[in-house]
Amino acid sequence: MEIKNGKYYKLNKSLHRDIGYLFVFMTLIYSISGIAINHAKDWNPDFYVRKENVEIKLPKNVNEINENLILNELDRIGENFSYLMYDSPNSDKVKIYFKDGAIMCDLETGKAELERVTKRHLLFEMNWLHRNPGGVWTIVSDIFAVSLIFLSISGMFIMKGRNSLKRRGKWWVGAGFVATIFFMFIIMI
Amino acid sequence: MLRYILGMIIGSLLLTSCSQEKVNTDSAQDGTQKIGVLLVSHGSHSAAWRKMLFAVEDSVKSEIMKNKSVQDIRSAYMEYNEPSIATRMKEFDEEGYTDVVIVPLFLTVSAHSFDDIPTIVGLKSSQSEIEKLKQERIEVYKSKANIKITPLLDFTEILGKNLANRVKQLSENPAEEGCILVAYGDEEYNKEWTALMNKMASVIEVETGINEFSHSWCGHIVHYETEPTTSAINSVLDKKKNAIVMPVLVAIDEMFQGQIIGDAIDKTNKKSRIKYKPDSILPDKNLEQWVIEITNSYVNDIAKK
Repeated sequence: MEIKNGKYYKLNKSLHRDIGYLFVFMTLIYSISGIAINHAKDWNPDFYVRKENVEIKLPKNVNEINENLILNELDRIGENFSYLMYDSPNSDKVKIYFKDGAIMCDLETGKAELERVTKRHLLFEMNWLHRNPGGVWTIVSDIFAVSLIFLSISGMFIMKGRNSLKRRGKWWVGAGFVATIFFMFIIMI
Repeated sequence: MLRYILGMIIGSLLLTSCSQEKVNTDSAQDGTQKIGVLLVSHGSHSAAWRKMLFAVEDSVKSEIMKNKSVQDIRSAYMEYNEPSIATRMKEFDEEGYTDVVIVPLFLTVSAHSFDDIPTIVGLKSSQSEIEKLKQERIEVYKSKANIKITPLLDFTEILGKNLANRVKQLSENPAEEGCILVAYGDEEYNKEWTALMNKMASVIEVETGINEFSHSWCGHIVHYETEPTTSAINSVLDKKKNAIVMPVLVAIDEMFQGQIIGDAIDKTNKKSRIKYKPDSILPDKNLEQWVIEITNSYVNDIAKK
């Protein structure tokens, strides 16, 4: 079959352009959340977690603790807590829950740590999509993935002349290939 | 063609924006007490792990069902797999259960046992906890049934006996051996987990005569890395001729017993001095008996009311 270079070249370029436009936003979502999730060891990509030591004075005997005591202590600290409840995982600790966090009190040492957890709005939602919430998004993200495959292959055939794949392009593609294989090899050994 | 693709994307978006209403169907309430039992385990990507935990239900079901107050016993996973806790609680509600006894098959206190499970079933309602569960794709469902949650596995002496027996099977010369306990760990309750490891070490010492111990974590707290376990093994081998590595894990998961602990042992380059069997706490007849007894105890308390 005779390859009609001009026609297929233009089609490739048009598709690459338009599919590229279509998936700009999704590419940004996956890239930004990818960076965030990639560093999950160093930070919490989904929540702001603020921890600080606070002073909560409670009896050492967990049986002597009641809600009034706790509410008085929260008032004394002066922070605006939306108090929910308290509970004890064992005889040494009491956990005080409020709307956006909790205070864990160690009755033995007298230390208490406040932890406030709030969503990283926008990033939380992007990470949520990146991790695939399931349902129809599985199909949508598969379509996106196939489109990325198309964009990466079609991109190699857009440039002509000195910057084409046959000339300068082959070195860049080769370098990317070798680097990827090298890292795969390093991981395997 | 592009219009077709665009149409598909928009269509998908419209479909995703329609949420399914989760309706709590009113259960037939004629005042009759109906008690169910739910065995809850963590959940795992490992099929072998899941099979071991569901085998507990198979082992205890006939005995528990002898209690005429119990209408059914089921199992659920806290995360990763179905049936989830929410799925089972919805079933119980739809079938008109008035009370559910939840038996968590968890080692000791952790964020999962103390916060996640009570939040999933609506006993706790901290918004930050709910958001965390949502981020982990764990469904929260406030059941209509009254819920009681039984104590955890370390509530009994069974754990110590289990570990001591397993160490005895590997031990040949206790005077020349040290033991490394490898458990999942928990950041928030690190003090309690460390105390549990020390307690287990004391029991093993009494039962076996081994007097050199170390412990390490293999879970999220150490980002599932092998180095802490390798380090713990080396610290024992510096003092003793041989080391016994003991997984303090509820069931067998290839990732933990195989990769993390197995690779940690390989990295010591002293395999000839290490005794290791990639087993787990389950199966354990004593533990199954405890599940039966604690379930009956809670069910009978409910039935009296």
